[in-house]
Amino acid sequence: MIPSTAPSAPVAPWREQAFIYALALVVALLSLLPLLRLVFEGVVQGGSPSLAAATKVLSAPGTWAALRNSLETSIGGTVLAVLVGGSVALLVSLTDIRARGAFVFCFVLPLMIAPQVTALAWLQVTGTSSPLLKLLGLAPPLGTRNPLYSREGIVALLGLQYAPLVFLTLRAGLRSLPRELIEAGLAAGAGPLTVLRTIVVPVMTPPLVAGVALAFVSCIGNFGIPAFLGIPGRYTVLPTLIYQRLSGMGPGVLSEVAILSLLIGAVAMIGIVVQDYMLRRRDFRITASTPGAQPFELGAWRLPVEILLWASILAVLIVPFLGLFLTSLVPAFGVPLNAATATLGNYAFVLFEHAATRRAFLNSVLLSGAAAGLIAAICIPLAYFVVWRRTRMLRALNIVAEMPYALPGVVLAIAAILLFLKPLPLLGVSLYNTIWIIFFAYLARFLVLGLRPVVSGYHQLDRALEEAAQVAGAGLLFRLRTIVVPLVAPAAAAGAILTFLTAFNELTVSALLWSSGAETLGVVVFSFEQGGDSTYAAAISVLTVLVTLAVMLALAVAARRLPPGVLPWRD
Amino acid sequence: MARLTLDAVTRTFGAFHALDRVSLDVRDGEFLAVLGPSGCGKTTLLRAVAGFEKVNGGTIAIGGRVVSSGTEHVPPERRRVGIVFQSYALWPHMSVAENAGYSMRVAGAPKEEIRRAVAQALAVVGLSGFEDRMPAQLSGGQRQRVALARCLVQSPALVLLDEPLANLDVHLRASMEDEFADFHRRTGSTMIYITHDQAEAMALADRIAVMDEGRIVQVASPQELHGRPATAMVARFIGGGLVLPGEARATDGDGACRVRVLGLDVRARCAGPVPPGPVQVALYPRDLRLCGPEGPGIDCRVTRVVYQGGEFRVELVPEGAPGLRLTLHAAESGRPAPGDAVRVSIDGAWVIPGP
Ligand SMILES: Nc1ncnc2c1ncn2[C@@H]1O[C@H](COP(=O)(O)OP(=O)(O)O)[C@@H](O)[C@H]1O
Ligand SMILES: [Mg+2]
Repeated sequence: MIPSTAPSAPVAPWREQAFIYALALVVALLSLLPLLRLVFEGVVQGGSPSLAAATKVLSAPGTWAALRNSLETSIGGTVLAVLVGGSVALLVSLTDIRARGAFVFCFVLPLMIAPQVTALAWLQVTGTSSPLLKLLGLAPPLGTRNPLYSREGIVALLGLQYAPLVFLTLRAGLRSLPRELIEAGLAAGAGPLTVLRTIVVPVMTPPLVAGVALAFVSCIGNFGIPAFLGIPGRYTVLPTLIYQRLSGMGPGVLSEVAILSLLIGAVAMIGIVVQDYMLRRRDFRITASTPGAQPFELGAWRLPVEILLWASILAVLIVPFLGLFLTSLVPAFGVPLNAATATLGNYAFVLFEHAATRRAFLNSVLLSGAAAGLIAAICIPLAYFVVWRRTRMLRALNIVAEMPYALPGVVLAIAAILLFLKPLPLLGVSLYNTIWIIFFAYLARFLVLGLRPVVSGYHQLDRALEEAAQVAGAGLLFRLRTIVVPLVAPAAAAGAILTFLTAFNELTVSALLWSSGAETLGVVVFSFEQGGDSTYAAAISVLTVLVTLAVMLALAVAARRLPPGVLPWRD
Repeated sequence: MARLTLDAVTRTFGAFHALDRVSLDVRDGEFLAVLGPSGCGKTTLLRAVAGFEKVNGGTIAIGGRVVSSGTEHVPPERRRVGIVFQSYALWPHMSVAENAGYSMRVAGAPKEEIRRAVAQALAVVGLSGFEDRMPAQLSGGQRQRVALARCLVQSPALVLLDEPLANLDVHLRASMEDEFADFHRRTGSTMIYITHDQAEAMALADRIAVMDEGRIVQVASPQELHGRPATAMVARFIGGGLVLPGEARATDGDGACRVRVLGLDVRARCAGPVPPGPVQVALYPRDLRLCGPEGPGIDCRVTRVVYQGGEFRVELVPEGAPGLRLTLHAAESGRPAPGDAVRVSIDGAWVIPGP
């Protein structure tokens, strides 16, 4: 008889084993532990199993009102995002419009801008003291309530914020759509619109549903937009409810907010499961021989369509940020803006005078930079074992690492508070109310952002490059240093920059975790806006947008040296 | 010393046997080619020897030391084998000199010593002066030469080559074949050369191991494989043999016997005494000849005549067996035309000893 059992996993030398276990420990600490702690809090309070907190929270009418509001705004926002992002993706991918790369860059840009900054920009451009409307003589009369402080306002901004997300998912699908499918339809006598309806849309169902799920999960977890638009309008969704309960009552209500965040987590989970299922199906379905559909010629329609597309960029990107910029030049809120009154005083104030803002700049840069660097350092060996060595334990943890990012930010923030409220065992120091708790949360939440580009980088490398080094006698660490790291460095750098930008613009996590001295830029903007100092908030926001834009442009220039597919905004 | 011994090596992927009780003994300094159709397990065999695949059973020993068995596994970096990859596997971020000198850098050799060894190896493969080029600036043939130089610097006692010429165009192949032969002469390393191209295998190797469906079916010299195939698969795969059912009549001794095939009595070669009864008979184009209508032969119709470097390949269908295709070679003068009725005689045959 021939033995037919699979060979046991290669017996790696003990140093390799130790390395693998250390990596597994790090990922488990960052990804698994916080979520386990949160679930534990939901069912055990004060040392004994109890559903008291759960019962209390779930019987409060406020909970259900917030849940209903969350669902209303998320579903509305998702529908809008799909309509806008989906039709733009179809136009960009299937027709012969010009300047595609520049358009994609501009269209995806809002995704990299913090939601609270988007919210602020729209509030500034539509409000009674909008410098832009005043310049045009269109400002609503004083005392008029800004229509954005409403459910519809939240839906509109969520839709615009996440339209690029749907766009990117669908565009990826359309790019791998086999050209023959469309050509066969045309050859059978169908017109372009019939082909679109009967072939393209049905085949694109999986990426479309994946985009829907992604947008829904992002909407339900969004804090910045409902915080800026909903709190003044007394329209509460689950993330803002958690924020208000926690900042109003303090850690005493932790068990209750833990239940609330489990509730958001459960709703988001539905979206994640659907997305996972559909993405799996898409991988299975695309058996493309020659991807990349020949674009349909728009003919006489090309110019109008191009004008429409760029007008939408003007409306959703240029106008609000022009409004934001103009507000940042106003000397005091409400003062009309003209050549005589325009001032850079707000910038001078936030950059040089206001200590908390200066500190926040430094904190945000350091936190994001350190998180990006450390995550890249973790991801290079982690992805190596996941992709090339197919180490089973790390492959399982690779899936777990998705959770802190896929779940709403408040869920992770509450989990971090629960973990670190008490001093660390053995060490006796407490991370709570220090900057380190934010750092931990950033590492946990953004790990997967750094991981994905590195994973795709490994997939695109020929593993024989490593094997050649192995037969030359190089051990694991030497190989990693001399061969693997230089080869995946571009992908890791792209991941690190993505991590940096996201963390730099982040508010959801730090809004719940910040303490005096450990503010982030998002928190400072939020406080200024809540205190009525919109001009300062606008000045800081303009600065963060400029930093984001500069980094993205620099990357776009360097993009030719990156493996394809690691930069979301590169076409 | 690098004698390579495989004993009943088995490797499975799920229920699929990629290597099925493979046994092989390669002498120190031998140049052995492993030849087989695509998907027969050649790469898996090479990766098992290199240590990239674990084995489920059996043992692999290099230079008398067991490196793989069901319970033991020496990692590739400690096997001291060299590999020349089909994709070259040159590190794109290193110059030609850095690529070639990597193994000495791993071993911690002094820079000056590395430089000298690299210069010497590059001179051997005809790439002196290319030290500072990057791999991206080289042609396919030059890249494979750098890979060879890298192997030279490492000077392993056992060198594995996995279809190293598959990515090169035809006229480069011949010159690279010389390069490999020269490498072998110069270093005296044991070399295992994997290919699916029989011309390549015959040009280079002392012995050829033919693989089929995860098994080694015959290890022999090129002439032996051509004249005395051990199985029907070898007869078909090498030299385009046609395998037909026949009936053994009597053994004449001296490696000859009489068989009846296609209704003719033929004197055939055989490996040993053949008991009377059904056998499989291999017929090669060189065994068939056009003959006059009076002698014993098979009546056939010509279906195709193709010019093939100096002679013609004639394809025929026997009148009595329309499902069969016979092939023979004819000189320009006596060649028939498609549609002609001809008679073909069988001058020789080989009785296949195995399955
Ligand atoms: N990692 C693997 N998992 C499953 N099947 C494999 C794997 N590697 C090789 N095989 C299978 O083993 C067989 C032999 O493969 P290979 O050794 O690459 O063939 P060759 O090099 O002769 O073309 C093929 O059928 C292939 O599909
Ligand atoms: Mg192969």
